[in-house]
Amino acid sequence: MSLYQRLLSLVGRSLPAEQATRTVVVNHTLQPDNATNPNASHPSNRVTTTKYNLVTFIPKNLFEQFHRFANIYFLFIVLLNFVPSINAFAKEVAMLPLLFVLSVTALKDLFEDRRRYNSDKRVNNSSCRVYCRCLDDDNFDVQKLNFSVEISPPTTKIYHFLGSIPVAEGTRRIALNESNLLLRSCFVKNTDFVEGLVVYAGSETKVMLNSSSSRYKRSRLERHMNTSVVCCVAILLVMCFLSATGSGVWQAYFDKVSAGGVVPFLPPVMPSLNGGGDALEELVRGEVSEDASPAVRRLSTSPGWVAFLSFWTFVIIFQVIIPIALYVTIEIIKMLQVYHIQNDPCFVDARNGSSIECRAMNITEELGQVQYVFTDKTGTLTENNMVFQRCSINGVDYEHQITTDKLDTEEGGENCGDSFEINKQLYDDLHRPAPSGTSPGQQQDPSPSLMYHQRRPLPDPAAPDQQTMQQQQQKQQQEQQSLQRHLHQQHPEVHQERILNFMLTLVLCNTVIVAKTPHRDKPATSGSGNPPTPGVDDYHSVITPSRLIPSLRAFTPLIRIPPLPERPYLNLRSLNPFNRPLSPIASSPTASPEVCPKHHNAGNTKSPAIFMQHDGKNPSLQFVPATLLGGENSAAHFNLKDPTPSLGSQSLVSELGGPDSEMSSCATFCTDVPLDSSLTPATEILSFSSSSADGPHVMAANVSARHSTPGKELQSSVPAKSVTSASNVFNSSSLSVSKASDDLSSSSLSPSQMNWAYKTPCAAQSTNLPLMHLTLNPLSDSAGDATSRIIAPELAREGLCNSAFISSTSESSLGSSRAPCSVYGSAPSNSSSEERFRHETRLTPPNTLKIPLGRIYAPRSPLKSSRRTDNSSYSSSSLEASSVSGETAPVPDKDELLGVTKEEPKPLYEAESPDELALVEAAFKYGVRLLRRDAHTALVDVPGAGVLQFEVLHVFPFDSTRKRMSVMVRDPRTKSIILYCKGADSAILDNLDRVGNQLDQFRQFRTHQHLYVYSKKGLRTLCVATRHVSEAEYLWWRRGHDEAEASFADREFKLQNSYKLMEKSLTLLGATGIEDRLQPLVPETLEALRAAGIVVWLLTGDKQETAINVAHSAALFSPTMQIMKVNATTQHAEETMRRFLESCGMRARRPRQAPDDDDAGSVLSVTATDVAADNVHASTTSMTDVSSSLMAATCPDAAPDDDKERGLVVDGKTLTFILDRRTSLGPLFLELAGQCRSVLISRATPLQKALVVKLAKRDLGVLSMAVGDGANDVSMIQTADVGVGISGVEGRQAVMCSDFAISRFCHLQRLLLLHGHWCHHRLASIILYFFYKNANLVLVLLWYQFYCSFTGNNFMDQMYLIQFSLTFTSVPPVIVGAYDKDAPSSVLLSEPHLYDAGRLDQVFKHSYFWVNILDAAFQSIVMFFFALGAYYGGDSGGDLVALTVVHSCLLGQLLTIALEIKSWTILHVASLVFSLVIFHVFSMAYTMSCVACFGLQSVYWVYPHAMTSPLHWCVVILSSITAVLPRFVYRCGQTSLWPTAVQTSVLRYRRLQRQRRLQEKLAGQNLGCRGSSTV
Amino acid sequence: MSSMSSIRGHIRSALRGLSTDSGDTPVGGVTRGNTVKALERKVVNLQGQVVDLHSRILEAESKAAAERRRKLDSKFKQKFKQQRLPAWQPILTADTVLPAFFLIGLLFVPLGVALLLFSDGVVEVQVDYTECPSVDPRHRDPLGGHFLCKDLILRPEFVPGENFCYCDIEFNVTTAMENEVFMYYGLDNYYQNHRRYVKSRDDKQLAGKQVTDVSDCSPFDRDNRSRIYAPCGAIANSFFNDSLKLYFTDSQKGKQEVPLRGDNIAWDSDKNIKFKNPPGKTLDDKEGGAFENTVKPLYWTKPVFKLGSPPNNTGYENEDLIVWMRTAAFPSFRKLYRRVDNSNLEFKKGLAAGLYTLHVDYNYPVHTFGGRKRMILSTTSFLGGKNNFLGIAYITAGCVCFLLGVVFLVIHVKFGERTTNHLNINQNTPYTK
Repeated sequence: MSLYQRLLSLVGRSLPAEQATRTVVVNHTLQPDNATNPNASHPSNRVTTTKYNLVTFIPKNLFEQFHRFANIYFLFIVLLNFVPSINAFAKEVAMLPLLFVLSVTALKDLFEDRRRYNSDKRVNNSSCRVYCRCLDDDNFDVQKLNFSVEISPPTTKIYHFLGSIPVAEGTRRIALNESNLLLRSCFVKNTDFVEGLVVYAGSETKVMLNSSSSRYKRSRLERHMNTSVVCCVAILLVMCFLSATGSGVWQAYFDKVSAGGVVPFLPPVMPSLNGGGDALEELVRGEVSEDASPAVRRLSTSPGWVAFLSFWTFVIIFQVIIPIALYVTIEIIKMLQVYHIQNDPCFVDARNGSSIECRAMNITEELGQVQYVFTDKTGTLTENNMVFQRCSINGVDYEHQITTDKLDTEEGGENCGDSFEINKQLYDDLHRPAPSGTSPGQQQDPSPSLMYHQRRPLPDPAAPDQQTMQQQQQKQQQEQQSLQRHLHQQHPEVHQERILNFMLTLVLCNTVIVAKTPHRDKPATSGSGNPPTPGVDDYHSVITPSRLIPSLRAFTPLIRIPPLPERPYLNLRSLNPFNRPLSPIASSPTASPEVCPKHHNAGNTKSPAIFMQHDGKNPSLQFVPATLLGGENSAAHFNLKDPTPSLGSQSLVSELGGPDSEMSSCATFCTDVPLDSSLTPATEILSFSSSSADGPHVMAANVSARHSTPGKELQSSVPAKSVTSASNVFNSSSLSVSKASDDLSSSSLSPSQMNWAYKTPCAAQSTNLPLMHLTLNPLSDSAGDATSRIIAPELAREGLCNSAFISSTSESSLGSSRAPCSVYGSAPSNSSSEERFRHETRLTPPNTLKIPLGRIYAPRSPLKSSRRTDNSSYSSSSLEASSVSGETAPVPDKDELLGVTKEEPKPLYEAESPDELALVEAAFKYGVRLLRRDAHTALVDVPGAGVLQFEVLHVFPFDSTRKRMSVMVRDPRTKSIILYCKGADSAILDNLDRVGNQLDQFRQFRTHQHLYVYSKKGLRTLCVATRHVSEAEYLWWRRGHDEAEASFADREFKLQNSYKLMEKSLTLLGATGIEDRLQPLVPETLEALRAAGIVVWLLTGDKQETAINVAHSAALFSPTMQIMKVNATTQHAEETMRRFLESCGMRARRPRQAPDDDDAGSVLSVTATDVAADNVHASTTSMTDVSSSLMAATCPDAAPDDDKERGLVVDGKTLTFILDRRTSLGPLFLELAGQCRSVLISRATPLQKALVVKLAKRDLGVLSMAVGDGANDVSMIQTADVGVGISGVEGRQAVMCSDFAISRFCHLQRLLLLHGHWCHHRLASIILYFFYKNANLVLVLLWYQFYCSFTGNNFMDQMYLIQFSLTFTSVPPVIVGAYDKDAPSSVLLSEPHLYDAGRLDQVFKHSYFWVNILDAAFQSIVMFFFALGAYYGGDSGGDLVALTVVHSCLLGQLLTIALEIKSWTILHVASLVFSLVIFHVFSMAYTMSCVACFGLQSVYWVYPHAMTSPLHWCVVILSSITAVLPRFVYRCGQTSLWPTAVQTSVLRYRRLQRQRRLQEKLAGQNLGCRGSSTV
Repeated sequence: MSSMSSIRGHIRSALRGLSTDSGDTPVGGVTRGNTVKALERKVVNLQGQVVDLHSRILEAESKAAAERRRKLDSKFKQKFKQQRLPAWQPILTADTVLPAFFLIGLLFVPLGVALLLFSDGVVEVQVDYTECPSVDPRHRDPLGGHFLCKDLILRPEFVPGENFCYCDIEFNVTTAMENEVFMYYGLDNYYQNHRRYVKSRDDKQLAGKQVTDVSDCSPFDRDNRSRIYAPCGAIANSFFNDSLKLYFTDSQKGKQEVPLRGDNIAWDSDKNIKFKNPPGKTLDDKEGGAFENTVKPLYWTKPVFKLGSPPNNTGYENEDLIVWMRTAAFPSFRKLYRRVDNSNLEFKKGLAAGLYTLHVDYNYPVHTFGGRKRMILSTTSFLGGKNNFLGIAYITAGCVCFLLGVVFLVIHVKFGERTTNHLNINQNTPYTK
């Protein structure tokens, strides 16, 4: 940016528009170095961020430095000194301070510029490595490309780029947008090559444009300081004016008493050589020649003129009162402070060794004054380590246990810290074999027998009187449950299909990139747009599970199944030829988990046969303790033998349906074994599962096939021997599976087999239809036969038991752990409010769904206190269940469940956000595996269907206004177009298809409930929805969309509209809950911050409930706090809200007043619906009239105890109204917020975050700090006074724009409470000291003027005067400013309230400035007049007296700073000693060697004379001690009578220390021999 | 430390394993003998492990010690970096500062008394001769009186240096002035510290260096023939040029001149280094002389090389000039003029009490700007001349400190309790009235 432009922008005018667009032409078509080259006007790619070069350094740096006002001022002083009549100093000496300051600053600038130069060198040399090899590619002849690109001029907006390529002579344009732009310093991952055109280069790149404008932050303390400096200027002017007046008066006196008004022996009339001469010049020179005109002569001695001249002289002399050295000193102090902050070992993050990074050097003291902290949630308070925890699919909730320990390490699996155990039921729901005729047999679960089961007496005899009530409750609950059960059991295949779609959304609708191994660039192998042909060595990098899939290319076409329009959701799971009627409940893993690990451990030693026995035994011996297994081998063997021979018979196998599924899981698990070490057993198991049970069938076949086939091609860890043996065994099996395996190995599945497989599910589907009417009666005429019916209800019954029955029978307890009710898995006897209300929801009959909405979720504030415990009990309840069952039966082992997923090595997923990653990995665990994706296709391994290639038609990227993301794909199975959409609940739920179906409504309702529950638990929720798009609609939409994409103007707006057109009438699939755990010590940190009086605002994009919950768990909201929620949905709510705010605000303002019932009542009556209902209402039309007014505004309950702290909750939408200037709600809101200790703003956009910070900063006038970790916090961080970036997983944008970068949120406590406090205290006291110091010296000079006739004599030798602040007294302030501690770290950290000192500006008050000036005045009086008294009329020369005064000034100032030192270290002592020593050494050297140096009057040998003079010492001692007496007395008196909080704490701390030491001493005396060496 | 604790953890877990194994085994249904044997084996095994672990602990401890030693070297550096240097945190409460006040009081008061005594021991006689009448019979005024010298020297016929006007002032010395007696001239309301005056000198010239640029002396730098004044500048130009003589009127011997010495009245450092005559064959302004191409200052009656007595007390090295050139700090000052010659037997013990006459060759005008001239005879003490100020100041300061000490004692006694109460209050202390 040129200076001109800068000036213009300063003036406020916009830059002259370069042009609307600029044209970039492909370079190779142009003559190089031609002036006519249209690209010539654009800058080269060479980046120069340096400000100077060798030649320009001095002039340019000087120019820059003289932009500072202080430097200009001092230059002015120096120039004044060149005027002879005015000059007070020798010219050379007068320039010294300025030169010193300039050179120190120049050195600093030089250093910084050198750093920039080095980084430039790095950037210019290394990052521009372009491989041009691809240009030689046959397919891509770059020479043929001949086009130009029209682009918008460079801007700083990173996410904004518009451009177009005119094609066909400009008749058509290909539109370009920000997604076509690769930004500089981006990392291109997983990309072999990029062909592109440089559109912005060098300084015009967005990153350079953005980085160039680093703003200078001025701290609050500095602003205070500047006010004081202005006061100093005023003092200076007053002093100058007074002195000038005195000078005039004195001149007038001489006018009167002496002839001609001459100063003695300085007659103005002197014989002059050069005769005449300019009268004015003479006047200025102070010499008026003899022949000057009488007027000039008179003027030269006129008091006015003399006063005028001496005024300027005094400006020079008294300039010291403007503390020029202060600026330099402060910079040095801050540098030291930063250095020590960075060296604090407590900031080191143990995970990666990263420490704090102070990016802003000049605002350390701001850390000690923070009043408001605005913090992001995700990644800032939380780990940003997303773990998939719950999901609600089709109205059914699936919960997952989080495993935190790294049990995977020895299993050779992933090494991630957090993971989850897969929900067996969800797994089974998804992987259930295709419903065939037998499947409805399972659906009789809520049968009369079940109801009977429910009426069994409760096992708890302690509460017999509650029995009936509980029975009733249970009855209702069962009804509820049954309805819920129907959601996925009435239509298992529908449910399954929805789960699959759900999973597909998770997998497809994201930005995840799949990499099998960390990517290696292979520019040579790149093609030119053709999909890469997987070569042999591409298997590892391109196609993810390469060793499992022989050849995707060959495989994929075969997957494409002839479309079945009437049943589009049928999947390849229905390949299963085996009718498996079991419900998910029946697939209880019971003993199998114990068995499988056994294999694992013992696999090397035991024979395969035994394994088979173990496996086979499971079905019948469900609860055999592990210890007994060894002894009952034979029995197991026997048991196994029964089913095995009858493998061929379907009926018999169906009896073992449950075990079958186990076996399948077990089998799949055990296939892991060959991958590890023990090879033979696994192949045996494979053979077992494939031969013994038809159920595991395709799965197993797949597995084995995958193992067998790659054996030929891969050099992987699977030894060929084992593979072949596996396939041998496999092939030897007699069933159709073997055929499948053969087919697989030859990369094909026989179509006939598929067709055959498809038939049964179709039949099953048709028979399932009546179930829509919630009939509980299973259709027994379908394939289910008697045996299946015998087993199924039994298992189902167990499944429905809740944990209340755990102790009754071991069976039931086991069942309960797998039962659907374990979704909520808690005993009804649990009395917590959460539980109770969950019961209510469960009890609600389906036909009364709409009515009690408001009532259902009505958490009352009194209950809040118990919430956290509720949650914990809630989440652990299912765990309890399993642990109880563990007493009698083996606990389902993690190994087993993990084993299910660990059949294949996991591909490496890379995503922009951890949420996406968590979801994709979750889907992966359930077998829906994203294998590969590029711009137009996505390869997904779908359970049962194999690998499908989805054609990605469109991706609607996520943005913060839509808050959702969608992909439009063509399903390879049906060729239909499906839109998968994933986003915030508000973004999805508003766009759902209106459904009339009660069941669907119920599903939606359930999903709402689940969403609410999830967010209550602090989970991050996302909704998943889908939509089928007809071809016709798609074509119609496509036309408009293409148009929008190609448009230049308003493209974004048009695109948004286009997206919205598609993202409507969605079908809700479900929701996900992702846990993002709090970072360690976050609650403690927030607690400490709040205790420090810092108001914490949490600004998050998350759902309100999630945010509230996190706020609670993070101790942002304390249990005793009143939480006020302000949620409005439309702007009409303004009036209501105003009343609400007013009433709340008034109540908050007048604490003792009884609440205004009328007012509050009206508000509450309108808005008595709770937030929970909000989501529901938002989507249901019946409630819109309510929602049109204020949705929810829960004023704190009429609490007489208004001393309570308050918390405020506002959502982003409401915030829009509040921030809207038209509503003028801002002040009200701020007033209310100002009375709250914590404020939570949910659903806030990045811009809103910044706006809120700005509002608080501007209107509340507080010192704000913003903490964030992601790109969405950047604007907030930049707006705040102090920006703190957390270097987490979200990239470094936040760090790059922050002032301080920390790695953990908890470091904030130490940073603020300790370092902030210290830095602020140090700087504040040093600034005050500096004012005192300079005023002290200047006032001494002022007093002297009374004795030198106000002529502006310096009194002291000029060298001393300059050295005094430059060297004598410069080090102690630096040391104290960098190292003094007003309180030890332990005190400050343990007593956060001490932070008040800085927060409330108690250290640097403006009055303190005046107190210091007064003290300086007193001291100067003492120092000067004591010397005067001692020397007046004596024979001592002026230089000796001056040295005495300088000496006493020095001692006085050192004593003063010694009084200010709160903690003495060796550094403090050293600095004081250094000051004294340097004074004496300098004096000695200067006065003993310099006869007439620097054009100054000689002070030769004055120092030795002074030092040997007793009078000198008497004066120095007396005046320095007397000078500090008042300060000493004040400090003592203040500490004794009115100690500050810090002093009190330190005193207490020291007393405790003393006591402890005394006790230790006593103890040591008592125990005597006890050594103190124990650590 | 952590490694050791982990090892201890190992031992603990191993022992735990021992106990649990012994408890569990019978359940397995294995025969008792086997169990015992297995247990024994296990115990032996574990004992071996424990021994092994113990040796590892020792090893780790020695390693830790080495580490500690190594760390000690960089301990200061680390502590400095991390701001953990040992610190002393004084808190200025009443009880801690009490001794300081009393100590200062106890030191200052006696010191002040001593200073007063010193000052009292100094005998000083001042004679203001600003308005002395001329004793020259020519200067008799019509009314029978004498004209005052201060007026006479303003007359046009006044030629400085020609003994135009002189006066005799008689004064009594009441106390004998023992030991060394110094004669000063004192000037009042004389601003030798005027900014332009004080700068109007050239130390290079006075140090005997060849100077061409004497602009500092402006306007007394060169005469109208461009010759440099020697010495230049307003200070030198205004050189005090009264000559003072002292006569003692003895009852027996009558009026006799008190022998005065003009040497050793300036600092040795000034005399030897700061003020040097320029090099030259002769000390005059002839060709090749030290003061070639110079001219006497405007107000002077004779050139600088005619000052004083050759060879050591003339030119720039003239001690009167040196003393004059050391400008005073305040507008009232005295400058050493002569010492009473102790070598003279008569005045070996200083000046006896009696009648003295001051003979002044009156040249120096001060009354035009309201100045005064004094002659001062004074003995010296340890601290120099007579000055009661310091003694009084010390005594006052000492008393104030003592008083403050008493005040703080009261504060400590009365409010010390309150301070401790303060200490017991923290943010958790409930508020009570």
